[in-house]
Amino acid sequence: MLKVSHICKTIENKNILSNISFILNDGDVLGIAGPNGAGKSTLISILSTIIKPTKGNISYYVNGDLYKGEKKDIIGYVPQDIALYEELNIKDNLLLFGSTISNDTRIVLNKATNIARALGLMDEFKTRVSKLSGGTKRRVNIAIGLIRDPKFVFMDEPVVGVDYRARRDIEYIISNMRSQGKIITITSHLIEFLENTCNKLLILENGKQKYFGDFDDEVKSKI
Amino acid sequence: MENKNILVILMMKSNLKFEYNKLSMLTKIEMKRIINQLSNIVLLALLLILFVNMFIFISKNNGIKIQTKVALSIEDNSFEVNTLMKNITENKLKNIVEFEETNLDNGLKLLKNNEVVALIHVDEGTTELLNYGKAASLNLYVGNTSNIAVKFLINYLKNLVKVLNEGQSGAMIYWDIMKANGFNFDGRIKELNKIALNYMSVFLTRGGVFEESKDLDKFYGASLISYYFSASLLIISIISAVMFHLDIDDDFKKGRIRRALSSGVNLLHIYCAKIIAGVTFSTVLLIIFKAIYMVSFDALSIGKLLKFITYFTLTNVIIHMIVIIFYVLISNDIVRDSCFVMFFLILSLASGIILPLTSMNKIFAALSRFNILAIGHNLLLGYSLSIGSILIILFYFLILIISIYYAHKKRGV
Repeated sequence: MLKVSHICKTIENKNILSNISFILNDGDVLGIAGPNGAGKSTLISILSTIIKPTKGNISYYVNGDLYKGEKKDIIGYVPQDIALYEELNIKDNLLLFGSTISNDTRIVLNKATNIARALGLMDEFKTRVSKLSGGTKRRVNIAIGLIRDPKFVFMDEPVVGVDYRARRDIEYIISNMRSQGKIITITSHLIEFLENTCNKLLILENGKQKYFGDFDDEVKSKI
Repeated sequence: MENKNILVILMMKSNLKFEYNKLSMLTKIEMKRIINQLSNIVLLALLLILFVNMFIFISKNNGIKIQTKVALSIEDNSFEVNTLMKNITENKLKNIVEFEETNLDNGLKLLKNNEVVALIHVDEGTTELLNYGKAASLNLYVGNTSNIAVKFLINYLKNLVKVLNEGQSGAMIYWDIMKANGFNFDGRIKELNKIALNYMSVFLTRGGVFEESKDLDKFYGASLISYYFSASLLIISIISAVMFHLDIDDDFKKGRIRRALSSGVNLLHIYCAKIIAGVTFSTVLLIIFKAIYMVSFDALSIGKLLKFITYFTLTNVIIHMIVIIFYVLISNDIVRDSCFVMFFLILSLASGIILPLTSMNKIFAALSRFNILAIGHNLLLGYSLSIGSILIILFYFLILIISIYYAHKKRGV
C-alpha cells in the first residue's frame, strides 16, 4: 500500500503542490493527468524520494507492514527523459544503475539479464544505446527503473515520443507488473494510454488535487 | 557481547566492501565511457604527438632561441676563466642563447641598441685577484629584464657564483692543514683559490657524469625546454579534464545524475568515479608523453618517472576537481565557457607557466604560492614538496570537496 498524506511543495515561495492525499493498494495503477505545469513531475519526484516535500508524509507498506528500510530497495523510478549513457551498451547501463543492488557483480548481472529478457532486450543486450531505436531506448529506460524488482514503480511520461507499437509494448509491461501486485504511478498527457493501463486517476491543476478516484468513463470528461 | 562485536566488525567490513564495489563498478563504467568517446582520445593523442614533435623539432634546431643574443667581454685569458666561460657558453645555456664575443665598449653599445639582451664581462686580472684572496666579480649587464632568457641567464650565473663560493668554503677545510705544514699566509691564499677553482672546474667539466645529481639540477636551474614542457603538461591536463568531464552537464540535463541518485548511488560515488577515471586516463597518456620526452632529451629514469607520476597525479586530481565544479555549477554553456576560460587564463598567467613569475608584479609572484598550477609546475620541474605546499594542497582538497558538494546542491537534480 502507498499512503500519501497532505503533500505540499514550495519552491522559491511558489506553491508547486498543495495538499495532495491519496491511498493506493497493491496492484493499483495510478495515472496522474493534468496540464503542463500542474505539478505532475514534481509529485512523481517526491513519491520516488528524489526530492523532499515541504510538508506532508508518504508511507510505503510492503506485505501489510510499514517499510522502514532503504527506500531505494523498494522504489523504481523511470524518468521522462531517456536517462541513459548513449556511449555504453544496454548491459553496462543496467549494471551501472543496478550497481547498488549487491556487492556481488554476478547477482547484479543476473538481475540485469532477467529484466532485459523480460522486456525483450536480449537481442541487443550488447548493442550501444546510441545505435538503438527510440522505442528500444524507452524500454531500456524502463528496464533500469525495474532492475531492482521494486514494489513501487514511478514512471514519468513513459510514452513520450514513442510509436504505436512501442506504446503497446509498454502497456503490456505495465499490465504484467500490475499482475505481480506492484503499485505503479504514471504521468502522461495521453489519455488513451492512461485509460489502457490505469485503474486509478489523479487529476492535478495548478498544483491542486482536482480529482482522485477510480478511472471510469464518467471521470474522462473531467480531464 | 564478544559475538556482537564480531558481528559489528563483519557488518562494517561488508559495508566497506560494498562501497568499494560500487565505486569500482562506477569507475569502470566511467572509463568505458571515456574509451567509447574515441574522438576525444584521438584528439588528445594528436595533441600529445604535436607537442612531442614540437619539442623534438625545437631540440634539433639548436633549442629555443627567442631573439636572444648575449655579448661576452672576457679580458682575462687564464685557464680558470676560460674553463668558467666554456661552461657558460657550451653547456645548457647554448639551448637558450647565442653568444657573441666582443670588448666591453662594443658590448655596452650592442646592449644599448638592443642587439644583445645581456653582456657578461670578466675584467682583466680576475684570476690574479682571486689568487690573492680578494673579491673578484663576474659582471652581468642586462637590457630587457623581462626577457625570459635573461631570467634564466641571471639564474644560471647566480648558481655559478654559488658553486664558486661553495668551492672556496670547501677549500677552507685545508686552511689549518696548510698552516700546520708551514705554508705562509700568501701561500695559503694561493693554494686555497687553486682548490676552489679546481672544485668549480671539476664540477662543471664532469657535470655530465652526475646527471642525476640534485646539486647539478639546482646549478643549472630549469632550462627553457623543461620549463615549457612542464607547462605544456599542465595545459594538456586542463584540456583532458574538460574533454573527460564535458558530459557532466549532459548528465544533469538528461536526468542521468537524478536517476543514479534514485538508484542508491551517492554523490561521493558519482564524483569519485569521474575523478578517478579522468585522472587515470590523462595521467597514463601524459606518462607516455613524459617517457618520450625523457628518452628524447634526458635519460629514462624509473625513479624520476615515479616521482613525476606522484606529483602529476596530485596536481591532476585538483585540476579535474576544479573543472568538475564549473560543469556542475553553471548550466548555461556560454556563461560557463566564458567563466572557465577567464578563470584558467588568470590562473595560468598568475602561475608563471606562460611567463616566468619574475617578470611579473610582486603581488602576483607572492600569490603564486597558493596557485595550484604554480605548485604543480614547480613539482614537475623537480622541486621537492615542501610542508607549505603539502598544506596548501590539503587545503585545496578540502575546499574543492566542499565546493563540489555545494555546487551539486545548488544545481539540484
